[in-house]
Amino acid sequence: MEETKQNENKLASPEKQSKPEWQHWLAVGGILCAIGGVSALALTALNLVTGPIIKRNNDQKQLAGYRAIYANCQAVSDPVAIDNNANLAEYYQAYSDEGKTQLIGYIYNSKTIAVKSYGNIHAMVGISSEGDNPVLGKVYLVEDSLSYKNTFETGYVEPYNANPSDETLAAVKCGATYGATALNEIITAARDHFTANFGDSFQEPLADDAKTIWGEDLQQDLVKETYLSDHTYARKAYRFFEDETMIGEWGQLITTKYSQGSDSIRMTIGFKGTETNVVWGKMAITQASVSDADALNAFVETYNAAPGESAFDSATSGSLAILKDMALDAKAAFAAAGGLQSTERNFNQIEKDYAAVSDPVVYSDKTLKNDSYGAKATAYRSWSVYSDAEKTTEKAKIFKMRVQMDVDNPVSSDPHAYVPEHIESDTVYLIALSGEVTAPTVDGMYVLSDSSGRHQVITDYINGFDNSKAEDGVVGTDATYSLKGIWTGLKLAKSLYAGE
Amino acid sequence: MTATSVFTAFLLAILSSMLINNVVLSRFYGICSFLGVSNKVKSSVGMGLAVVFVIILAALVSWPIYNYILVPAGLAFLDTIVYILVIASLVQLVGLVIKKYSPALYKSLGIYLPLITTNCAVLGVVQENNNYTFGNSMANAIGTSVGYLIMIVLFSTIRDRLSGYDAQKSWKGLPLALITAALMAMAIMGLSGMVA
Amino acid sequence: MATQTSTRGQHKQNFLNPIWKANPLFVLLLGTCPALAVTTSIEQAIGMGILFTIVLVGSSVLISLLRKIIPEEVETPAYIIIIATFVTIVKMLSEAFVPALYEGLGVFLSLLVVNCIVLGRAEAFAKSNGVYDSFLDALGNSLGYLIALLIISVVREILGTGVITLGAVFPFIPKTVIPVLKYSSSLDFSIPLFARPAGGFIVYGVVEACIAAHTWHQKDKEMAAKRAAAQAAAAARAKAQVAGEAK
Repeated sequence: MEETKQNENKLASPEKQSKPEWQHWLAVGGILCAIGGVSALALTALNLVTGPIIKRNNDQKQLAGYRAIYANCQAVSDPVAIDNNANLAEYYQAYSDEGKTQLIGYIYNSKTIAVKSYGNIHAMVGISSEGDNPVLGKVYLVEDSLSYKNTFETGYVEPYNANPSDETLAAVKCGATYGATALNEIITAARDHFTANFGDSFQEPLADDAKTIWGEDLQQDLVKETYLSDHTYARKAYRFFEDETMIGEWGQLITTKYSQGSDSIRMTIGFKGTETNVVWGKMAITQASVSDADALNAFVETYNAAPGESAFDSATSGSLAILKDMALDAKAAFAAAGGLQSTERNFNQIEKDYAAVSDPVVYSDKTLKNDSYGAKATAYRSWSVYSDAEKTTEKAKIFKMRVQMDVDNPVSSDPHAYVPEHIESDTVYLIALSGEVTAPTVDGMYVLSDSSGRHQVITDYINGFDNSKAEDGVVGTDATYSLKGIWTGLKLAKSLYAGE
Repeated sequence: MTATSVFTAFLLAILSSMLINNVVLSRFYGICSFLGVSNKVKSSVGMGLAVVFVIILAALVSWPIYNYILVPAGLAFLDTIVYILVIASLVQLVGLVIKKYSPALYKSLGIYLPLITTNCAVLGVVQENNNYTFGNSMANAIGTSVGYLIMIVLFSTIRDRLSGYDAQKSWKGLPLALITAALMAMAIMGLSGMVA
Repeated sequence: MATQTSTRGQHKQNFLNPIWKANPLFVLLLGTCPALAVTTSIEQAIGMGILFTIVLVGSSVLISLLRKIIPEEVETPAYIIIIATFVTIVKMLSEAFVPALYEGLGVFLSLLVVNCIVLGRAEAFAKSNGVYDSFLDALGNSLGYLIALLIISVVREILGTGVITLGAVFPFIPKTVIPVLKYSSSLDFSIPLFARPAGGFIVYGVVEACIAAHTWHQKDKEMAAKRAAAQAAAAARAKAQVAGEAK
């Protein structure tokens, strides 16, 4: 009753108890709309106040994120939107100075990706360039509301950020696979975008290069590719190895790239020699779109007839001047990386004071096995070193040997039974033999590479080897099997020395 | 993406929100009704089915509203209000429709239908869908609601059996039911690596 | 519905009742969703409790203020709009000023709209009582809910993570980690199950069992007291009879 009275008062029709239906509903609707309207107004007003604060918080978070990716990032460019990409929203260029002149790399900002029904992730990833090649950078999680957030972050994100690389990128099976896969997709998308837009997708014609520059047929599996950084023109180095041990280079190709506007030149040049004594090889133009391309090709032909630094004295104009700069940059890159890492460089570790080296004698299929110790020795090549420049007096022969072991110790016949372990090792080393062919003196040995578990013992043994050492002495050491392997190689070297 | 892989992804999304990230036992939506309604198996089934219906409809309606009306107008902060009004109206509508076409069903649902408005699961799913694509949000809706149905029916059958046993008097009823829910939650934990 | 007039004592009752005797979480079994979801961390529980208080008090007071104006037909949508407005206000304020709490609470902040306690108090109390009473009732319920959240979160955080972490949510508290059960990764006595969903159910169930035990204990005491009184009365009667017979 009280309520009805109140209703009457409110509707300002004091005399009637029953009012027109529509008036009643109008009032009802009106009040509801009033409440709704007031609330909407209040919220919009509050949004005007809190909106900027929220935006500022997010921006601070973004800046913290940029610093997490590039520690020296001071400023970023305005975002450039990326269209038609399921994972990426935009990218920024990151600079190490406020003036935005020193580009460090790119930061890709992903969209907020929902991972099934576990939550969302929103990440920023850095991609920078080394030459024209994309380099994976760290990742920063702007938002991570996954229900298994901890597993995801400790299992995938932290290992990746400790060492951004293809391996850590691919390790998605970490107990948080869905989230890791989603992040993997974001990072891969960023790298692909970078490669497509800022990177270099040029395919080096290595076989043609090898033929032109070295006159050799390319053996693809004996070549290693490395990126060169901090050079104006030099991009990659291709190292050519003399045999399957992948130790001992016989030549290097340095690729260079120049591009300005619509002009571009790609040149590959060969080098041998040490960093202090660079031996210039031929060069090949793999791509050129310049106005004086004919002059360029003519110059290269002249150069290739007599490769050397002085040949560039006449390269003073147009593309030739640029070519000269590219070649000198390549030489600098070659020298900076230490020059040719040939096997011969190591000879003075065991043979001091020799005047000349012969061409190598290459062996094929020269092996010796020692089944009692599970060792297989292979001889790859040998050189003669001479005490005189005319190569008449041979001082010693140096053999390049390899010992591979793959055995479970102890082999049954070994009276000294150690705790069983699996030995797997691969040692490449040099042996210098001199003197009588039937009873040679070991002048010394030198380790080129070793991947065994007893690495220190073996390295010390080999590098400290002298003629006084005897095979029995290895029994009872901590590395009997591996050292027996070394002796197997020595036996093979001696038999080759005698057989000549 | 091929048609089969999209379908597989859809199924997996449903599976993950149904079992692995279960609505009641992992995400904690809808516990009030979960504990309150599950005394009898029959009412649990009814409640569960009604929830399935409402959640799917609500997700279907609210996703376009958010993405095509609120966000472009810069009014994303009004999402909660809009959603709850949509849900409340939807429940009323569903109630009217059921009343008209199947009075028996309406009677058996009884007070549970209006109760769905306050079920956290409905609003929870709709809010979660803010950042999802349409496909993912429907998968989320289907998976969540079916997951709710499965769990509430399972739970009520266990409770039904438990009520016949002679438990220590402090534990009788709700406390024991909560421990049962805890055990079910632990079982769900074991599924967490399943779709990895 | 008549408005209840309250005396001083009733005011006190309105406030004290919901804190323990009619605790919204443990006795009335309302608002369980956030209670299990956000109680893995004490700070988050406190944060949730504070935000809950704002919503409940605000909406109760406003609804009570407008109770004579809102027509019966549109009660429910009107209440929903008012409550949703307060929830959105709280959401925006927390996103701006305590973003860590906002992110930690996530969807459950929005779910305060359908929180049974808020709607329940509006329907059961605020719409038929004066502003001051509604205010006290809301405050009492919020305090009761906060205490309940605290109880659960203290157990879950200490048992589940082994440490008490402060400062992760509230920026004005320095970041401290107080080791209780976990001193280092090797000296770790925590039981991680309690930080998972299953643990929430367990703690809730145990607390309910304790309350039930307490209630039974009270009942038994009452029964015993009643029996003792009845025995004493019977003995007195018998004595009187004997005395009367003796006379």
